Amino acid sequence: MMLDMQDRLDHIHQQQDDQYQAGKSRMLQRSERNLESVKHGLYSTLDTGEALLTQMMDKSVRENVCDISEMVVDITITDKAFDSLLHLSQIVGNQALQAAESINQNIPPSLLDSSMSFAETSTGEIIAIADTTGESISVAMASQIAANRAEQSIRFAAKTKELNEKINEKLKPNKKDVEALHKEIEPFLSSEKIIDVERLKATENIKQIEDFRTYTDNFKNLDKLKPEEILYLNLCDWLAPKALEINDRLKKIPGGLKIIDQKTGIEAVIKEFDLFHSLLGEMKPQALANRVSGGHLFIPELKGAILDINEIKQFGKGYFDMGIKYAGKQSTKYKPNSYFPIGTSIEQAVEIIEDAISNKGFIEFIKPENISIESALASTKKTFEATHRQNQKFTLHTDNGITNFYPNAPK
Amino acid sequence: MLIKKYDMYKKEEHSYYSHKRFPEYNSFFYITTFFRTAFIYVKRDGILNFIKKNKEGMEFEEINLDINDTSNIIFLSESWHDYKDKTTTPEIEELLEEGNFIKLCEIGFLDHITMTKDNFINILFSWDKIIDQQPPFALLCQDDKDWFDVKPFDTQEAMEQFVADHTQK
Repeated sequence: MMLDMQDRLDHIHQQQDDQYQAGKSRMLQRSERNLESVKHGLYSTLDTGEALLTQMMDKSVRENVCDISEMVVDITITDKAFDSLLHLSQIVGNQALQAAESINQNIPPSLLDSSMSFAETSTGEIIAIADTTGESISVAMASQIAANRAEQSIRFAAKTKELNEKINEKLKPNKKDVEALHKEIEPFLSSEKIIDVERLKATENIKQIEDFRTYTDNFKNLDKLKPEEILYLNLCDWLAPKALEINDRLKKIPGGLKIIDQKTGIEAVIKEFDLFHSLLGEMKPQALANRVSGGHLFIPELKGAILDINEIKQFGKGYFDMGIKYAGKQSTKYKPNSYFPIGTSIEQAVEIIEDAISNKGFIEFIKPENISIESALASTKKTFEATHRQNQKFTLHTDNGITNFYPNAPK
Repeated sequence: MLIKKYDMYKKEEHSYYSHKRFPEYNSFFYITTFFRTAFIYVKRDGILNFIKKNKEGMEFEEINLDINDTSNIIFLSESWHDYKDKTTTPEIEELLEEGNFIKLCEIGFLDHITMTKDNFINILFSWDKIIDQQPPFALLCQDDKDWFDVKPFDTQEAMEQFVADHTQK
């Protein structure tokens, strides 16, 4: 009997226990479900924030001082999910992070690469602040900037298309060459974003890049750059390793690469080609002057971004000149600028020039003309005209061994 | 006409070359640079059409041509290749930005020569004739009224005789 009672009691306890356990489990399950759904919402908030943060960190933003970002950092690092997530949800909210992300997507690349802070205004609007300039960007402003950039890109694209059509009709270039050059340049054809800021920072001793380095405080204040300047710098980035390789090869020529006028005996040693001037052209930050100087390689996207064009005239085997003026300049003055055949690569252009220099009987010393031969021999600046075997003439300006060049229209 | 300054040119393979290399020939240097590097663009359009079309002047790779339409004076000045390394001031930078080459000449930043627009048109016609006829010699001269001209000659003797006849004894 006692056993029965004990068994019954045990059974009751077991039942109670089971019931309790079952009840606890249901409660826990419910609780866990609730927690999961909360977590799901908050993790999605966190993911948004984390993506935003990662994106910003990837863009060299190391000093995000906003509360939102700091919190996301803390959560990500410590993985203290629940309490912090609730806190994050209360303070930040998905909406705010989406707003921040929206700004992040739309602010100029220059500001993205600056050190940025996010803050909430008294009206609850999330704004991004560039630490260096103090410039603030709201969602609306960011959208406007994005629209302006898009408009600028569309304008550049339209001009490039128009220019290509004009060129194709007039010059009928070799499509294969054009496509090959375009394929090579394509990854660098952005006027909205510096493709690789770190690589540009590491590219030293190139005058054209140094001007921009100074202007942007070693490429920190990229917000100062205009779209055409961004495109130009990206193309400098494309050209830099090629220029380095070509000029390294020149340095290895015993005695240097000599250009000699056999009639007068006046010579110069070419230590380096200024390929940035010769092929891309000059561009100084914030300056309209010099933008029609050099740039004898035809890159329609760059020309379309900075120039107005008038007449195009072909000469020699695929060479041509084009009347150009800077698009932002109020002037009727066009400069006839000569170009290598469309689709000529950097390497081919240099090969053509070296070939002309090696055509020794056809090199003429041109400048400085108004001094004696003795003085000309001693001068660090000299100008020569060289003729390629295919009868195309080129002018070469040497200044302390640094040489720029361009094809000449026939006299 | 009295010749104040002159330079004798001999036709060589591709063009006419002077062999006088003295600073006082700077004025001739700008004219010959224009002939050598820019005349092709004048020839394409025709002289009068070129002048009509380019009322303000034109920038070339090796030389700048600027026209002051009010005073009828033209300026031939050095190009970017020559002035790029010169020291500038904020005023000069501003003028470079504006592309105001006339003012840059007037304040002495750019080396240049001036002549009247009529003289310039005249010398373009004379040079055009020389390019078409390809005489073996050409004389570039400046007379006592600062009028520039270029004249064709068949022989060096004839050219030298012309100079002797028009130079103050």
